[in-house]
Amino acid sequence: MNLLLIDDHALFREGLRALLGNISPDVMVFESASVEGAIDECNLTPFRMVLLDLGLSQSGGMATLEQFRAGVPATPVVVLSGERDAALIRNAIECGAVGYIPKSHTAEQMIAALRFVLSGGVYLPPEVLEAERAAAGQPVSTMERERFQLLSPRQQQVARLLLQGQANKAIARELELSEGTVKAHVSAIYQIIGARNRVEAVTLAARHGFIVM
Amino acid sequence: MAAISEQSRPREDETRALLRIIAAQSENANPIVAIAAVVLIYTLYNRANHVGLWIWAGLACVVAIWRHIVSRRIREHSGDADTRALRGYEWMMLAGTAGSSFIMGSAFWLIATSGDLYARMIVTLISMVHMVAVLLYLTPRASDRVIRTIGNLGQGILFWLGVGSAEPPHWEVVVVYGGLFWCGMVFGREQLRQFRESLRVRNENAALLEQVEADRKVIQGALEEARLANASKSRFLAAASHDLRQPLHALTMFLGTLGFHVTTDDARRLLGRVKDTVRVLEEQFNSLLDMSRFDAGAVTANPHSFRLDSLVEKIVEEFRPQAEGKGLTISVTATPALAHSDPLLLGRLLRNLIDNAVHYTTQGRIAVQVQASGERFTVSVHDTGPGIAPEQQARIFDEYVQLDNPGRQRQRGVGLGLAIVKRIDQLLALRLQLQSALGSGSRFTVSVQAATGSLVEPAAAASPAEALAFRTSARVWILDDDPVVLESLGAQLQAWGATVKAFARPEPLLDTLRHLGVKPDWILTDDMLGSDLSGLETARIAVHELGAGRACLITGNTEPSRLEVLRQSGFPVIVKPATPEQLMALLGAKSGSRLPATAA
Repeated sequence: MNLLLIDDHALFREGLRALLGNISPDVMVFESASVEGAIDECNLTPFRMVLLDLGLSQSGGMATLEQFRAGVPATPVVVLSGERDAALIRNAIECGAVGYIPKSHTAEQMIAALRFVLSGGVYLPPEVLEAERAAAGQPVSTMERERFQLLSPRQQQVARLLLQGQANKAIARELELSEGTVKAHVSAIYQIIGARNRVEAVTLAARHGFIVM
Repeated sequence: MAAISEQSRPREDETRALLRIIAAQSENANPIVAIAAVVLIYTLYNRANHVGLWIWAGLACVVAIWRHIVSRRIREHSGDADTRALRGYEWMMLAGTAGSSFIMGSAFWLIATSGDLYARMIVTLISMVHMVAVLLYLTPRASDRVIRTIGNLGQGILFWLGVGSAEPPHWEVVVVYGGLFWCGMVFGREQLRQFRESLRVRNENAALLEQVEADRKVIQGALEEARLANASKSRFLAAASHDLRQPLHALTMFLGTLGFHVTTDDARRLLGRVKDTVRVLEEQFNSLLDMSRFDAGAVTANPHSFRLDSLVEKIVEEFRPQAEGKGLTISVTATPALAHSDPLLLGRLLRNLIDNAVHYTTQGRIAVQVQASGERFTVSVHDTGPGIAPEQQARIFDEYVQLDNPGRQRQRGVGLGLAIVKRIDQLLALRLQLQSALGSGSRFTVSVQAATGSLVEPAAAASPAEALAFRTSARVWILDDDPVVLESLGAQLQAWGATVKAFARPEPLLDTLRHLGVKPDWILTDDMLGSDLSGLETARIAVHELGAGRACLITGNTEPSRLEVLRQSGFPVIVKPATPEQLMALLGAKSGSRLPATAA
């Protein structure tokens, strides 16, 4: 599996690469210090996912994510960031990220988060999931937990691409469907899993361990 | 050199101003002198010696021309003249006036001696007027005034004392001369004093203006400096929060990696300690950065309305495991409260207070309360900890102060928790109060503004119990091209007691409606059905032509233009996914009443 790590701090890249090598020896880690370099890299090698530092000094913040997504819309992006502000995390997911790992995690939390992401799950920091649950005001019911399983195989395919941040048009192209059908699938998916938008859907997927990559 | 010019400057300014005024006065006086001379010649032509008259008139003309030239030069050149030049002008002016006086006085010998009493009186009168006028000139020194008049005055007095004639001395005229001279001297001195006073005020004003301008520049400079300092602080913060934390994060990665290679128990224990240390280091670093953010004004409040009671209950639950792990009871009593503040910052403050309470309390309980109090709500955190002595109470909100912790418990950060509490209190105006005494626990209280408006349950607030208790006997037909939606929606409706019929396409629904005797109370339909008919068209036909009860559109299409069309249709619209609350509101609503479910 190929994975691209975009971070302008060589020391951090080295640390993460060492950790990844121990967690999952079959992962090939590529590195880039800038978004421009990363986009070039993506044109040469197909990546299963990209780990992107939001704090790249030249671009910075959400602009980094938007710039990369504009250049390489089809590769799922997991954000790695020193910040763990809830609004920022939400914002990152709105901008198409499919997961968010705070760099301030302890070694154990980081290992767990990376394992989860490498197995295709959506990782969000525990406090974000807690907050979402508190906002919903209800404990998770068994019924809700099974909701992702209610999706038909076709809907699951659409849901994966949707959660990866792909546009309806791209999903339609990928699955060889009409855009209208994709739209219908998307609204059905939201209805079934009980989400109003993609951010909620990503949060639910993170909570229920829905495999998206 | 500089000091001298500083001192001489006001004098020079005065001289310059005086010269200008004298020049102007003397120019104004010239026509009058000319008229006086003509009058004198005309009236005395037949009463006095012609030759004396003409000589006198000629001399007067010469002096008048001299004074005219000097005045002109002063007017044109005094502005940029140096001290020496000014002194020269002064002398020229003085000489002009003194000459004019002397010539005036010479009229006694040139005209008066050869004339009759009338002629003598006229000359005397004009001489006196001239003397008074000259005395009234602005001159810087009393001696100048004497020099300027002595030519005229001296000759007048000598004449009337009988010098050079057979007449006996006329003391009365001499006394009049003396009186006039004395009055003129006094008056001239007073005028000079006033002139100096006004000049001083003018200079002071100019100096004040200069000072104000200088002050303004200083303030502007200070402001600019402060702006730069603030910008550099912000840059430091940005750099600190990003770059300085990177090595820490990398360290965590390496420690995680090291964990895979450590095999002995001793090494593992050591690694555990290193990891703990890194965690504490990072926590302390974050607190420090937070403090600087507050102090730099980089943290701003984002107030809005929220359920204060829910927030407090949630936070207390977060601390329950920790508190109960220490054998403490932790309780929360909250009245329903819709508050207006920044919930994130307020939550941070409450977490710090409760964390402190849990940490310092060794036995007993922690009680958190939300109470209504007029236009505000109070939140109090009460513990049965050691309490805080009155003299310590102000100090605990300072940075890096930890009571009962002289040895600095290593796991407890650097004592920034309450310092952050204080800053949030100031930012949100929470009227933080502390009641405590040694041995009787502590109570921290904050007061939060109530939101205007009534307590409105936000969306998705129906409890599971309510959803379970809801009952309806409605006949509901549902139409959606997605079988899963049909299934989950149908199951929900049936659970509430509704009689449900499900359709995947509009045509069978309309056919059934045409041919079946029983009409549905509700048709719930998706809008995009993948068919020729849209949900909206189907609903129109079913309700308006085929006698179905009511219809509701449940749409996943959030394109604004289409949503607007659906809203205009008069049918209630629900944006997917339909929540149980929306469905309950829909089915429970009386016919014709406005439905809350129309909101997206």
